[in-house]
Amino acid sequence: MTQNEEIRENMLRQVLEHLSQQNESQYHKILTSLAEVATTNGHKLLSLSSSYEAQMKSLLRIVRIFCHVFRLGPSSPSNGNDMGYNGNKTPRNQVFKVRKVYDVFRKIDVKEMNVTKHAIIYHTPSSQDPLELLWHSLDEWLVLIAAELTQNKETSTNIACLLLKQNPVNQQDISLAHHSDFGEDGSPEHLSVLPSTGHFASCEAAVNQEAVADGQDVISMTANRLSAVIQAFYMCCSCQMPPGMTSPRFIEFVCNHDEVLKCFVTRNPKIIFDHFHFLLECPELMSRFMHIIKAQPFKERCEWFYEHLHAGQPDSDMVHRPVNENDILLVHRDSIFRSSCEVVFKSNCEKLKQGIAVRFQGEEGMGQGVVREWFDILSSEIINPDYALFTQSADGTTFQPNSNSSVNPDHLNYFRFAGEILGLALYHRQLVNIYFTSSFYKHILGIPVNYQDVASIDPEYAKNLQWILDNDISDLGLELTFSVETDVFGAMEEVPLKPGGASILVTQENKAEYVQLVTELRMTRAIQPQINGFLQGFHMFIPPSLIQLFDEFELELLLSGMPEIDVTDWMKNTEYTSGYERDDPVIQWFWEVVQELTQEERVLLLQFVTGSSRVPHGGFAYIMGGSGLQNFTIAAVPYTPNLLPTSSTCINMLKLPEYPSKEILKDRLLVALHCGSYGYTMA
Amino acid sequence: MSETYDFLFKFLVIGSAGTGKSCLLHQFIENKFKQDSNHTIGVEFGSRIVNVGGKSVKLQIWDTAGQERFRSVTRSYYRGAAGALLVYDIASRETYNSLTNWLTDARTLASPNIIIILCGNKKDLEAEREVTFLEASRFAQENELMFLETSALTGENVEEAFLKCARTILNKIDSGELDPERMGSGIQYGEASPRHAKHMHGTQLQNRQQCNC
Repeated sequence: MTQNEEIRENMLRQVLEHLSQQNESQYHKILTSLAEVATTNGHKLLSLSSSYEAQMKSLLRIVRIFCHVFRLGPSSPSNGNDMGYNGNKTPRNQVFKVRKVYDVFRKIDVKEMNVTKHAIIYHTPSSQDPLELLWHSLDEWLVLIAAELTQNKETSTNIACLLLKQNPVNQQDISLAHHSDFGEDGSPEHLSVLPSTGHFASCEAAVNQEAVADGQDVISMTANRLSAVIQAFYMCCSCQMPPGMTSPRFIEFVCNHDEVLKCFVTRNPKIIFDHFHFLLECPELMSRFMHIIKAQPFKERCEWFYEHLHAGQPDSDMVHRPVNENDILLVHRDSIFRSSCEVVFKSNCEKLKQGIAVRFQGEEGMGQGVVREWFDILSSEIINPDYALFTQSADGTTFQPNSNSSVNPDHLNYFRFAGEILGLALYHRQLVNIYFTSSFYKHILGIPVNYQDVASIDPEYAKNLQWILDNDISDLGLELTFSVETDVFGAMEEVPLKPGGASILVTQENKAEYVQLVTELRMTRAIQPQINGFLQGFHMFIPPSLIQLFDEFELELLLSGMPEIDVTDWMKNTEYTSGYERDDPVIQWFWEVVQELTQEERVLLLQFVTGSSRVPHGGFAYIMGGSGLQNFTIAAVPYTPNLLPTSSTCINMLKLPEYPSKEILKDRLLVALHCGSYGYTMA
Repeated sequence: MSETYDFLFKFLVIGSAGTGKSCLLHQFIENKFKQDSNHTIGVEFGSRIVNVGGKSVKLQIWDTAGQERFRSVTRSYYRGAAGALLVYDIASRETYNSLTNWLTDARTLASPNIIIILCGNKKDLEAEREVTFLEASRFAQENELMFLETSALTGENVEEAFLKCARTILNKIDSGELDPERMGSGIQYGEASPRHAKHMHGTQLQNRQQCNC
């Protein structure tokens, strides 16, 4: 929407707001007229020859105004102005009345739908609410499309045909082409493009028979238009509900048209973000579409994720801006955890979303590199066993909340802090130096855990659970009950798995329930307060509706980046400046040295230059600098004896002196790495 | 940007598939014959301002798909229509035979006061004629319809059909038979309407509507 249109919308809204507040009949007249205009607009939008963009925008604009005026009621008591016009109004009642009218309509509408399904001519209700006409048309369209879908299911021999929107009449013409397409690239994204209407038209001409506007094309041609109307419908339904609640009418609507809506989303998953973003706010509705979304490439979901995460934020966080001295997070290197915790709790969440500036006490360094280092060492601190917040998994590589963290009296606040740091890092695409257990990622995502997740903290126990499931336990005399003994700092406590669990025996019949409950106890219930604390902090930056786009493995990639450093990829994505060329002997030596380094030393080198020990998802091509993507760069510095390499972490630049030999280069580099990868001074 | 008119009428074009409904609309709006016409999907929309008896009337015309599979959708567009062109093909008896069904739909689903004009289209295909003028005009009389034979190809009687329908509606408004104020009449006042003053808010809305057409 251009600014101009926005101003016009605002003006119009203000005028209508003012007029509608004058008296009750005026209010109703305005609402009706708005509804009429919206209805006409909506119908036009459904007309294929109209401009989709323009009609969609104007429909949504009108509906926004309609909802705004509707919400106001005939006159809002909070608005002091209304005293000037007419004193005796009962706005709440009035709104209520309108709601009742809507309810009546709703009932009629539902009845009607049933009737039309049986193709019986029905009588129109009085057309007091013109918008109901539009919703009615919308319903009819969706019913039509559902019919088209079934029809195509019958005529298509396999599911690929259906997905490929094949015209049964033209099957011979295009089936070959489409099948080969499908063979090469079966991604659903590909499907949404096929076939173009032009293609269809030409096929139609070629077949030269009574032209059939193919059902699949009806769907692809109307999907966007219908989706926009659905969005408008949602807005109207929502404006009659208290904020945060999804209208039952809308839920019913989605259930009724489940199949068609799924088809739309399958065709073009972006519809979710263009028109159905409300789905993200309503988990019970979203769950219907989740499997379709999850089938989309990870990269695309990342884009959607950040697009919506940053929607409404004034500027990208990657852009350098003058930092207000008060907004700098000043932390102490020697008490990084506590000092960071203090400053983060004190700062404003919205400001942190706009950008983070960190300075270590007593150091001058500032900028993206410092921020990266802060996240890096802070995340290592979070899992520091001294704080007892997280425990290692069985193999020592991953972490999850410690069920006994309450030994640290302030532990829940620290979990909230940990959640905030992780959320903040994800928000700003910073990587952290922690790997969690898959069950903990599942907790972040809100996915239920299963017994296999137990393996990460106790592989032996998981094996036992597996064994219980796999074998008949009737005659073994295990004498298991629905309770578990746990070790709380040496003292054994019996915890029932469900009320009265200690006296319920585990049998062949209920063993599945037992395994699930044990899993939940060990993986969830035991650390529920910790999880809740963590999520409370995490959700300050990352709404649960968006994070659910990913699974636990993808979340790990998002949070922690790639664990291995690929030297070939590194070389490929490195630039050279100030006199260095790819073929210079010094550069050759440098890469030979890097090849010789241990994995750990490579991480140190990466950290030395970029401030982060992690390679972002996608490899070195996606390393971030102070202002967006910034490749790893090596710059030449004149050599003087004993001079060490230095770096500018903001721009990922390694300043490498022109060493006379490979041996000296390696020696100096290692000295720099082992002494200098932490701490900033102006070199 | 702004065009003024006294009234806005919602019109429908209905009839069996292939009778030339979209071509009639196209001829009326663009004064051209639409050569490569595909089947209409759902509905198509067009509008034009005409001058009828000294009043400017904006005709908002909904061209509906004639195919049976779209019946459920197009039916929902009937509501709130002030006038309709009921179209058949003079060279196809089948399209003529189904007129009764279309008529029932229109009378039941649209406003009971809807003004309908019967159009025997493809008048230019005289050699292939299957429905005589006399027969159709008798049908029109029995069902209280106006009647014209039209040709979207040559443009003959196309303008006349729309205007005749609009004129009848205006007459009925003047005689008080039709009340534009009644909801669902398919008639709205425009900016230039004498009732303008009564509809302060309407002005704004009409403005919007015009720029979105």
